[in-house]
Amino acid sequence: MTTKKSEPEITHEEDVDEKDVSRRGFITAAALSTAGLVAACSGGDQGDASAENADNEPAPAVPATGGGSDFDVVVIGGGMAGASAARETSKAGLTTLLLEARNRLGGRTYYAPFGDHNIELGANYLYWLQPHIWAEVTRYNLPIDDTPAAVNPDRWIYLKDGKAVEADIATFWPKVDKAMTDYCAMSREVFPRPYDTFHTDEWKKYQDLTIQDRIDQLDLEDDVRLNLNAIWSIMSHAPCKEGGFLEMLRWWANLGSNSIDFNNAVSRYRLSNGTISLINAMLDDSDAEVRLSSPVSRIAQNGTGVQITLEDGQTVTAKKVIVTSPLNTWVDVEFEPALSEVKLTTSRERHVGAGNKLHAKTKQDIGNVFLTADDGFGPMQYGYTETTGPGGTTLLSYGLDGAFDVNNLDVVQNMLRQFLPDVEVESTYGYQWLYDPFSKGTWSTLRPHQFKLVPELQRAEGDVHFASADIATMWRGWMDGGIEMGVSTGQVVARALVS
Amino acid sequence: MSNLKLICVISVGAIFLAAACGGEQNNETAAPAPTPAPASENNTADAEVGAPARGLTEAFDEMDASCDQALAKTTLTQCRVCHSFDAGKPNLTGPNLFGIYGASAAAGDNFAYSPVLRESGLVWDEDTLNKFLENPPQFLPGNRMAYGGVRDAEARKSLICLLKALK
Ligand SMILES: Cc1cc2nc3c(=O)[nH]c(=O)nc-3n(C[C@H](O)[C@H](O)[C@H](O)COP(=O)(O)OP(=O)(O)OC[C@H]3O[C@@H](n4cnc5c(N)ncnc54)[C@H](O)[C@@H]3O)c2cc1C
Ligand code: HEC
Repeated sequence: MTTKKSEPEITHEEDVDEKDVSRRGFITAAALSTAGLVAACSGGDQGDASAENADNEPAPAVPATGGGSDFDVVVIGGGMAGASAARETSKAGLTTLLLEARNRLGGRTYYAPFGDHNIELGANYLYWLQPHIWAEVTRYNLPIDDTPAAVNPDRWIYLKDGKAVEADIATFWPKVDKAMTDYCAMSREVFPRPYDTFHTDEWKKYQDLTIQDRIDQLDLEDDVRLNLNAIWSIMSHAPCKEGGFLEMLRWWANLGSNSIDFNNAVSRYRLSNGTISLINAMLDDSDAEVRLSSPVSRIAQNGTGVQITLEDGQTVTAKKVIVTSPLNTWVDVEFEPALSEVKLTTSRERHVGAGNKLHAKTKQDIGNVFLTADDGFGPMQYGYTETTGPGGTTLLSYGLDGAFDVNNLDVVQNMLRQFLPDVEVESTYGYQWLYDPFSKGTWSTLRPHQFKLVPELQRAEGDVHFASADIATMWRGWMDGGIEMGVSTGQVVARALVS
Repeated sequence: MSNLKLICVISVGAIFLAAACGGEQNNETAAPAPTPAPASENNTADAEVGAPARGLTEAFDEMDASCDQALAKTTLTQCRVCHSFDAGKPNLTGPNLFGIYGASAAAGDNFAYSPVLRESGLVWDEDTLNKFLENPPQFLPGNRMAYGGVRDAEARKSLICLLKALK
């Protein structure tokens, strides 16, 4: 463990007296003890290791550090990218501190209690064709739930000119399936190796196309076109004229270019114990210190290391920093020297993912339904039954309007009544990611011109590295992409510091 | 037994502990079955349970009879994802709201508030709560409550009624 020179941020537990400490002091102490707490809570012996760290006693042998930094590595952000990055550097023997702005881990995954059960307010689905996250499922032996209802609806109702139309699934789905396949016809030529998206130059032919541009190239029946729009708009979580065609084409290529795997990947398999079970597994498997409620406001490099300043003025130094905060939030942190123009501009422009996701419970059993609407209808493009029974149906609904009043019973009920006129909604809830300053949006879909910028967005600037699902290569926009970036960047940093 | 564990027990960091333990923090009496806590001697999320505390049950009993109790209850479901309401319960994603009516903004214990809320100078009364809850991002840009607000005036009224009695 690195020798700490001056460390106002390390509070020794013995010094903490419940009565005399000011609230501010307390917050600090509490936040700091989290380091150990995380380890202590999540089981394993790290509790003791971290306790030792907190007591500033020598920690287990680590590679020669020197340089006088508080930590070898500081990881900013405690989502999939941050947790996996911190595990890599810690397992390489580097002293690692993870700073998380919120008072919980998980980032855009959030397994939260709601009523009598827990729900995933952010990401829920994963699939075995997502190599990075599936490797974690294998490694930590994480159980998986199957929610087959979403891919086997009994009724498919879509909005056309404001009216509900019920599809004959047996004849309609093959048409939509063909339209999706035609839309993605060139996926293997453009992405023969989806893990290396620039392997050929084929992408250049399509780099200016939006999703809508590509839909317009196809000769489709109106109702098929409408549903193709619904599917791609919800997958990109933005109106079809915003997201880049290459983004969704990449998903299709990642999944072996077929709709069965596509549907399975986007709405079927979940972690039985919630996304937090993976975050905890990764951090349990490391000696990284974790501090919650620690928003970073400034990252400054002076040639010999990096100084990280928290919102409350505390500072920490590190040899290298891994920034995993969302692309859309990079502009809110002060970098010294300033970030490259491309990084800043892209962060300011944002990726397009900014819609809503809500969980609704109906009073009646409405059965196994699938609801769609095109991107002209803001509240919902894609809704489906998760579970259903005599006690009612739980629906998951995704829409493009991130400001939609997802928590308003009447508003949500009126929206659903456009599809199912008599439905009564008992409860509804959605986390409004767009309003959260530490996400400023949902999952990343890049705009057409941003595709070619990915290598620059991923490029380290001096000792500051960038690893976010938002800028991943293969499963950009997914938990898998977070782990792809966390693991690969953690390894780059480890190789640089351990050698 | 390390000092660290001691801190766990006095539970200054209960919220952090709870969050770190994977969201098993919600132990309010009225909240149905929280997910089982992991078997760990260090899990102290229940540490405060012993203290007799006032909370939602009393507030519902004592809230002004002219207020819409049922509406308050349904509206509150949303707040409960992020807030605890019974005295002494740990903060969740948001601060514990026991005694919030009449309090200054950002005065709760052990919660890392946003600078915007800390520096707002607000005191939570009928008027400020009504405006804040209607549209938090618009009323206080930069605040960290990731919640679009309660647009329905009647629902807000019932909720504020309840918060008034939560003391
Ligand atoms: C509603 C929704 C549904 C989704 N569905 C799926 C799905 O089904 N499957 C799937 O694979 N993916 C899904 N995703 C996408 C997935 O959640 C993300 O791509 C992935 O989790 C991002 O991981 P990350 O670690 O890169 O970023 P994040 O999870 O956002 O983590 C970044 C962390 O950085 C922290 N941070 C930000 N600023 C600062 C700062 N200044 N100082 C310190 N910390 C900071 C944040 O608080 C956050 O914890 C969904 C996302 C949303 C919102
Ligand atoms: C998504 C999580 C979330 C939801 C849902 C939520 N809150 Fe909050 N709330 C927070 C957070 C986080 C803060 C602290 C905000 C800050 O520091 O800027 C907060 C702050 C507050 C405050 C100010 C507290 C103080 O100490 O000054 C009040 C009052 C409040 N919320 C009431 C409510 C009510 C009532 C509801 C339900 C209608 C609700 N909140 C729903 C997360 C939430």
